[in-house]
Amino acid sequence: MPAAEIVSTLEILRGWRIIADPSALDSATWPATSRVVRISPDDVYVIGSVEPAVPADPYAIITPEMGFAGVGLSPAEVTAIAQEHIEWPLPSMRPALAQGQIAGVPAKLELHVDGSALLLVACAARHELEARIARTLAGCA
Amino acid sequence: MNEFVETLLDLPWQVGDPKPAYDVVIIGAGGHGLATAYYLATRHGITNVCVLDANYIGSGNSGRNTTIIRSNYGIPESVAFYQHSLEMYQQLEAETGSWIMHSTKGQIWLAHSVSTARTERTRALMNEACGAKTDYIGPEEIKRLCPQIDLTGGGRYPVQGASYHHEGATARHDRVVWTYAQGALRNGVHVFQHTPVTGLLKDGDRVTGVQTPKGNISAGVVLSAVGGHVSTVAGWAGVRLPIRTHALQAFVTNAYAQEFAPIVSSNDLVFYISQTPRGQMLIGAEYDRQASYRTSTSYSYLQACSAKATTLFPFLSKLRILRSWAGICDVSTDFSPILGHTGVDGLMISTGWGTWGFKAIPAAGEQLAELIATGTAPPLIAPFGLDRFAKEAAMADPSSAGTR
Amino acid sequence: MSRVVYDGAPIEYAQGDSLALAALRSGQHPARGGTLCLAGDCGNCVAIVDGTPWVRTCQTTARAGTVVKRHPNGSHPSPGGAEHHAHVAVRHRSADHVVIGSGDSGVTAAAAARAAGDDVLVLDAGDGNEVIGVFDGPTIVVRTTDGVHQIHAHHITLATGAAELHPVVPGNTLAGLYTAKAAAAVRGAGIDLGRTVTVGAELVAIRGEGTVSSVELADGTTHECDSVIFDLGSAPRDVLARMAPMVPVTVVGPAAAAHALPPCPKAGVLCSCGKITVEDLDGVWAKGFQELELVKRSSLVGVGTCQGGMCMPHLRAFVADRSGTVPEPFTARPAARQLTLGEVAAGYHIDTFRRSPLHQEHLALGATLDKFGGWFRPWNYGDAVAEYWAVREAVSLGDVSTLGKMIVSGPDVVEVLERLYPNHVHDIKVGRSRYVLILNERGHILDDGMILRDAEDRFTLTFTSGGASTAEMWVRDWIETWGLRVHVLDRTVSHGAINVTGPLAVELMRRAGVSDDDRPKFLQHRRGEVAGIPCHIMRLSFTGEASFELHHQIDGSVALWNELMELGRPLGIKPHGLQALFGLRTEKGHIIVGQDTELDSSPRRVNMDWAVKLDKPWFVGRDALLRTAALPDERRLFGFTMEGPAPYEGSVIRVRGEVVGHVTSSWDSPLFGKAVLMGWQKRLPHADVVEIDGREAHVSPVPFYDPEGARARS
Repeated sequence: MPAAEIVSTLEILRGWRIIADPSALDSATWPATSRVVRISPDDVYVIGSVEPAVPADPYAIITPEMGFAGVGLSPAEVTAIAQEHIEWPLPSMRPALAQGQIAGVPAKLELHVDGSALLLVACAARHELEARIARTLAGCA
Repeated sequence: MNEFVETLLDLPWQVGDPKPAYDVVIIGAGGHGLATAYYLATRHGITNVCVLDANYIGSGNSGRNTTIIRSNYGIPESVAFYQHSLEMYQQLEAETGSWIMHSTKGQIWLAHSVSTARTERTRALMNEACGAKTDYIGPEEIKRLCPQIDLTGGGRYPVQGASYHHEGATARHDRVVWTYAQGALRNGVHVFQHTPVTGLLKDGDRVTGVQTPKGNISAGVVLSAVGGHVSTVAGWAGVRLPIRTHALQAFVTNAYAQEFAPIVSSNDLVFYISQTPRGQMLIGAEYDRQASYRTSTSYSYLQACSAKATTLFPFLSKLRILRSWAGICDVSTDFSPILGHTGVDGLMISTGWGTWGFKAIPAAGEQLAELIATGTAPPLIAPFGLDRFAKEAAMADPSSAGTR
Repeated sequence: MSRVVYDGAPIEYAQGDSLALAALRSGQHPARGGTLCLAGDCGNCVAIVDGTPWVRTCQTTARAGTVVKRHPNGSHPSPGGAEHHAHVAVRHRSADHVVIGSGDSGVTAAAAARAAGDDVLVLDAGDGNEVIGVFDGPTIVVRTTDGVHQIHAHHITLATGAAELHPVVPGNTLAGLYTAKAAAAVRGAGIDLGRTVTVGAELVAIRGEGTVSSVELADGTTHECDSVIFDLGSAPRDVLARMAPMVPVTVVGPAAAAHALPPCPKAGVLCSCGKITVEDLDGVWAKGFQELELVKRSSLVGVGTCQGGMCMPHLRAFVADRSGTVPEPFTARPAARQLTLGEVAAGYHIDTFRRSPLHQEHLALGATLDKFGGWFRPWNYGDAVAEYWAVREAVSLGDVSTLGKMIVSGPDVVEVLERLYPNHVHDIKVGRSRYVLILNERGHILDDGMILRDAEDRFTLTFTSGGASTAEMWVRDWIETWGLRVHVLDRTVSHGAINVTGPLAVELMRRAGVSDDDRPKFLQHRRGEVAGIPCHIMRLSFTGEASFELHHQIDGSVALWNELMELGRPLGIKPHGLQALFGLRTEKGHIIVGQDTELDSSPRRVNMDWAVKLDKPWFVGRDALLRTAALPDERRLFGFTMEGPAPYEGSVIRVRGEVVGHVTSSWDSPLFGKAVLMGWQKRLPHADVVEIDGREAHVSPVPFYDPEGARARS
């Protein structure tokens, strides 16, 4: 029943998830070695092993986050994936976080100034996304 | 010349404008409105009847559906009602002498997982108990009935089994409408096209007629057989309906040789397919999630249907989509129709037909005619009154749609 | 010269020829007859190309080895083989402005848009970009030489020009008939048309056997010829603008011209796709089908390959003549040009099935996996009965990672939960938990789960696996609606969960390092390490046995599972799948929302009034429950027992022959040696003995197993 396994391209990322008031998140400082993804005004995903400091919100939810897998994409890979697998227009400004279906799987693209990006997907759906974009990524290699 | 050019039916239109008063005024000259008029005239001798339509006859959902006739529903009351309708369809050509192109094809409702196999077995057991001929069948039998199927479901949706509804059928939708229109007109019923009803006439709390650009028409009984904007019509009488309206899209391919015998639906994939008498493959799926009165179609819907259909039927990959369309479905909160009294004297209703209105045309018309003639809802439709929602007696039927 | 195969024989073509031109070059009509436009407007050149029927050969470039077959004469082509379609490339792109058509008006429009600073894309079928349709979005779907393109545009300009009219006269289905532009294209390709006659409205009839031999004109003259060229005027090619009524499309050039009416046709084939004649239309008109749409539906004129593109002007002229009113053209329906289902499906993914972090462990243990609620889950590991006994008599692991899980925190969190749930929340102490229903506004059961209090102002919520997505939207939607201050974090896919269940579960927890002092009691929960993995340990029970639900970060799932399996080996541990679980919980009378509930099941219908506190000031569904509480309930969920084998779930329940309900859960209980069931039964006439599957069954109190719940508490 399971589809044939394919070479894994998406690594499970270790990080932290913080849900707090937007203003508290705006004023927070994050570990220097971490990469920070602002999923929504009240939701930050901090990629890195260092536990982030508690922002100024006594009700903040701060928890380890191991639920995402991610892979870095070169500018050419971003373009190819956008052309073949994304029905919606990517934002034109950089940096930016784009969220929506990629190849039919809910996913996120953290788009960087140099044209590269970090592709994020829930670990539970990682196998589906990998299988669907494998041909595209192979074409960029 | 081809066999689809209409040469048998005719529409003996009345001459002139509507009279100022009729015993019964029916809003909506689709299948339901015309069938009700036909049965009022032929079963009860009530011919002082006027059917009004804002557009041409059959211009609404009667001419925008996928022409499937089936009775494999999930609750006893529904199975009994739709089985009666299915049997009336089987007899309609004999009764009227009209060729509606009725064809018993059998409907296969596929399951691709343990949980949907359970659903299909439940359907079969309930159907058998209530008079509809439905069996649970295995993959070999499915393959025999429909050799084009890929039982592995493209490797992703392996076919576990199916409920097989032996009497599932199709008929040409327009000819059903015209058959009832012809029968009604021949019996003296008036049918006015391009005569929109713009409001209701009232005397106190009682509805006494309708307003139209051709003047007010008073009526002993007004029946709304409107599809789509039924909430507006009911609203004129202060009746609030538990109805939401959604678009349902479908499409056909070009015509091909007749090689696809049954109607096939998939529970997991949520789509259905059959081949029309003209040879087109007709494909549809669930109605749009968001409520709307629109009848335009979307590319993403074509994509979803095409992906589902080609997954199970690889031969479809090379077939070409010819045209797509949408009907608008009035869906009740329990997915069952709403028939009969509205709680407002003088106003009756036939609505909640969701994606299952076409198959109900004969039975609903016959039963509503009896209700109008006698004032009492016959047992077959008594459970489907609007008052059921206030009585905690809703007819929740998860199997009502070919859609979820 | 290269060759294509045409009706089984090789024919030569010139570089750049369309398949239609190649056929003409070999002296044959690409179909069997009918006026050719060679512009993609009509359907008179369709054939089976490389196995795909209904392909316009005028729009398909000839390539060496292409196999063309004419459609069978007088019948439809076969849909063909069962092989899966070749991969079709899909491209998405955006443009400020898309101009469709690169004729004069298109070039002008594109230049103007570029001058205004727009990113402009020009699409023309002549360049291999055949526009299939304009859809909401706006999205323009284009068939190109390298696959299907979906173009997302802000502005669309239609500069598709005009289509030349075809003649409607007797003999118009012969070969040798060309529009003026088609004739020019044929000559331009160096193909000799022989003796030609150019005719306009004075044409009365075309004569010939298979191919034209002469034309007859209104003045009574006859002119012999090998080809006829028509000069009958044109109609705007605006179908793309009429296709998506909500999409603004600017139409320019000849495409924007008014639809003129040609003279009313007197005889001949009017709809060449359906071979429908003027006489046919007169027939339906006489039958009472007296407006454009009814003529269309009763004759099926205009619904063939060209979708009315060729016959519409003549059809309108016919209706105008007979009725005295000029009708509007009928609605344009996508697609304007046909696309195969394989092309449309390309790049589309029907759904996504999620995998538990323990997916590979299940496979290694020989599990049969199936799809439940969007997840792949173990149905069994080969022997559901052995799995059942492991739970009842020893210890077992179940993967419940798929459960919905959520953390809520904030100053208003108790208020939010009191409104969301029909049970009390404020009195749940920190470290304690409660089973809860979720109701919709109609008082019907939407989902169920647990509330666990982590701190005064912080809770963990769980939902069913299948209901988790809906529940998350439900919770977020209400919090936003109420404007209350609560943070929400969904943990469904971030947390794994393993249920350790059975009379030896306590012992296994001990061996996994959870001391008796640290072990939470029934309905308590706490955080602690299990086998070295940090867990949120919850005491609840779905199976009826002592159970520990271990929620943890998914990076620890595999280690936790394998360590527990190892530690449990001396205790006789086995994992259990859903098949055993469904039986275990049936013995306990625990419902599964969606299986044992219906769309409109209120709590009392499933005998769960105890989970509803109507004395609360308000919660979602309370108004409805207060209203319906006074009404008689029509049906209710009952427990039944009967001699085995267990009937299928879905079997109807009868009383004195009458169908009164159906079975929702059915299980051959190894423990009781008989079948235990749950099912719906109408309240009246109620009976204690019913008939199921032709056999006697007895209404039974639930739970069937351990009604006091002593085992779950132990």
